[in-house]
Amino acid sequence: WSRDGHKLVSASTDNIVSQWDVLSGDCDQRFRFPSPILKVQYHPRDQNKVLVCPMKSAPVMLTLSDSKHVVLPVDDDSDLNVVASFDRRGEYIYTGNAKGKILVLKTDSQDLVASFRVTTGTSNTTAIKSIEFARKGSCFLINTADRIIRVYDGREILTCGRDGEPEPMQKLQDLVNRTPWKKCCFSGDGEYIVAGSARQHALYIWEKSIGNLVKILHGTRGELLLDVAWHPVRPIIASISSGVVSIWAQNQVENWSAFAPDFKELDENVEYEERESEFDIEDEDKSEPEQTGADAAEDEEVDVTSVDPIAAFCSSDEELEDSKALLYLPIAPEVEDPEENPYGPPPDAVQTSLMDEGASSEKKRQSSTDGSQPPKKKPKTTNIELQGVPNDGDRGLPLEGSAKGKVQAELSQPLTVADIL
Amino acid sequence: NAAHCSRVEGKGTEGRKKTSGLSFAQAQGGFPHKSPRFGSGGGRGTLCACARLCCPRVSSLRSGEESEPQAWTSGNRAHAGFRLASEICLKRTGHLASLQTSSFRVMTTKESGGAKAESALSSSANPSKRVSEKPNYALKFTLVGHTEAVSSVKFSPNGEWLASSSADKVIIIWGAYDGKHEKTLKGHNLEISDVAWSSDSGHLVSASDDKTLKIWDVRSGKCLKTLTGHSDYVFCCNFNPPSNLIISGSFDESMKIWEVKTGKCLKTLSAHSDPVSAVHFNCSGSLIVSGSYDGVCRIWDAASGQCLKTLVDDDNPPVSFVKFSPNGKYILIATLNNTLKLWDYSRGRCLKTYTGHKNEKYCIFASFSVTGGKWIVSGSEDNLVYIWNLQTKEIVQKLQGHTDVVISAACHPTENIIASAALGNDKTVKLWMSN
Repeated sequence: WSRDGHKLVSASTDNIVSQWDVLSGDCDQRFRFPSPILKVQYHPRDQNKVLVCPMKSAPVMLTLSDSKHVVLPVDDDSDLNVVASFDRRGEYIYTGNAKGKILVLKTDSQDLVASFRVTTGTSNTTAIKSIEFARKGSCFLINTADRIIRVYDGREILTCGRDGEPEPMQKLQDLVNRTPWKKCCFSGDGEYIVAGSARQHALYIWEKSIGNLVKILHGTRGELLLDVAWHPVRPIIASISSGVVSIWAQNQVENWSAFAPDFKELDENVEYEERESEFDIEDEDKSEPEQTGADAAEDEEVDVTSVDPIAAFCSSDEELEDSKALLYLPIAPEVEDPEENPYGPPPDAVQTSLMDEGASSEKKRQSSTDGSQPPKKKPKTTNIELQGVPNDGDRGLPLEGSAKGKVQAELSQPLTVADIL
Repeated sequence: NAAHCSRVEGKGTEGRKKTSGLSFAQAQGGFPHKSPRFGSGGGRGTLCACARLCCPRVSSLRSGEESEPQAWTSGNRAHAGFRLASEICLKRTGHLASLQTSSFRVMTTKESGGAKAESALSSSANPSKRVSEKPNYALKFTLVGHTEAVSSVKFSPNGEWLASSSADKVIIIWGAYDGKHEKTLKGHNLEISDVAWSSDSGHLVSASDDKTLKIWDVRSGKCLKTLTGHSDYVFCCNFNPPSNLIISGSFDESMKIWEVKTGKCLKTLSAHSDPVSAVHFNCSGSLIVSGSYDGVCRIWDAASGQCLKTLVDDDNPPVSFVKFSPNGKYILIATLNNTLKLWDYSRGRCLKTYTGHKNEKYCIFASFSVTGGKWIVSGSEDNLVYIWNLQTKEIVQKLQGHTDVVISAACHPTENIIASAALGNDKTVKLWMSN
């Protein structure tokens, strides 16, 4: 996602990176790479920049406005697969290679500001599989081939500088089963880490500060986990396996004292002590000042219009929410009966204009046969050539456990609230 | 066979016992079908015709000027379509001013002139100049069309339309600036107690005595979905700000959360022991407030359906109406002891009390007016619309003109316009404007 929620960037097995407009469903631009793509990521603050990690190549930063690209420096030119990630604010890019070497580059200049090598056991190196940053705070984690998740503080990395030797603040692993991790990420507040097992549909959750395993969530047996994501603000986790998205949330415990404000929930029995005036008709002990307190309150100025920004949607260095951020998609009721339908064919998930005279809900994915609508303009496609990477055509990135082939990058239905409720 | 719906009946309020609607109507002598009192002869078309003559139709939306998708950004979350509405207003400001003066001249010849006199009184009768300003709302249009008592009026979030629901089983959509009758939505089998707009002003939801809610497409006027599940009259309804959910309150003492897309009931919140008289989402859609005849207001977490807080006042008189302030920090609660209170629900404290009006029987809508000065606006059972200064709590204006209980008062999202609707003796909607 782009920061304001209006755009999506995706990479498909035909080696093409595409940018989409969420509201219209249009593909804005495409970039054809010579090799399969491991990862795409928008710059956290500047959605004109996209980080792309192609296989067998150094990471590439695209500039969408002019379709240009910059190849990032790597540690060793024989690096095959380099993963990379922007840090939380996009000031730095962290890259990791198959020999455990982490480079920290300044995003604007690509200057190397810090580096270190992840070693395992007695100075053996291990391949970096992914680098993930928390949404709040300066921590990040590294998922390595040695099945250990290392959590670092970004500030310490910068302090250690080049060829530093920072110590991870946590090392998380499943010692019992030696589980390899498919995907890891932080909770919205950065306090928890979830890791999805590469062997089965199981999610392990640790508390970051203490490093203890809090919970293991088990999905359906026999399913292979593909991806895990933690909701940015709510205690909800989504995981994908076998074409199904599983939503994990907490069981709600009813707070009974909320129904009766005079009552308080107790954990255990309490011996009640009667007041002296418990059964008096007139309570002589009741204090008078309550009356004047209420009057004073009634003279306060009440502000009924200014809306406080929601802290969860603001970064610590920002005061206000982005007023142009896309928060909701327009929803229309599904209409089954064609006769009842005022639009014609059933409305799609996204409707652009509801008061549009005559024009039915624009279905951008249907080809216009009647010619009354102007033909959709084809998105601009830029071919990216990378040194030393032969164009492997459509061989595509092998997907684990599923047939090879083109993955259709269709805009999925917006998440219905039924699932969350 | 007098047509009545639960709201215009004031059902269920005596002794908080469930009374059958019919016996109540009989006690009251029913609602006699009198012809409208204002206007000459046929009554119904007369004033509307005047409005139509003075106010040629202008709507940028209908002419297709506005084609931007009504996407939800946090900027217009609180005032749905706010930016869009203000753009439209800018296009027609010059026009609007001329509309006001010309139509007002026509109205006063037919009206008793009460409205004009009232506003003149309020400004001159107060020689000691107070620091707080007073509004000068004056009657601009009387909208005739309903054949029975009107139960609710609401402005669309984009400021273009006014929707009114009635005991005559239909919803009428009027132009908000000229009062022109735009559309009639038919489909309910019984009287309608409430109607509400979706945030993009494209859909309406109505709550009816036929135990259903209906979702309407405004542009075509067709009913898109019927929501069934309540076991008694549905009394109140609202969309949430993203408008993918609808909340409804019913005489079956429960509230239901419905999914707009499928029409399914997602959750039922049963925590009241009497009919639920009002339900409302806050501006961010994260909270729901409900009020009931059992005297209790409850605040719910919209995502989980968990009850977060209960507000009970001393005496717990039946709560007839409740809604969040525009910023979602406070709740306005109307109770059937002639009182309106503004509560800070997070601290459980009543901050302001507004009195002087009459409200002992009907669930009268109240509203925050924030387009000009900050007022509280409410209907009343003495046929007036009351306007209070929100901070000082004094009555700043009383709008006269209706000939029956003013059951609903609504404030335009961007302009100083108030819409009011009255019961069976009156059957009209009135538009008042202030400068």
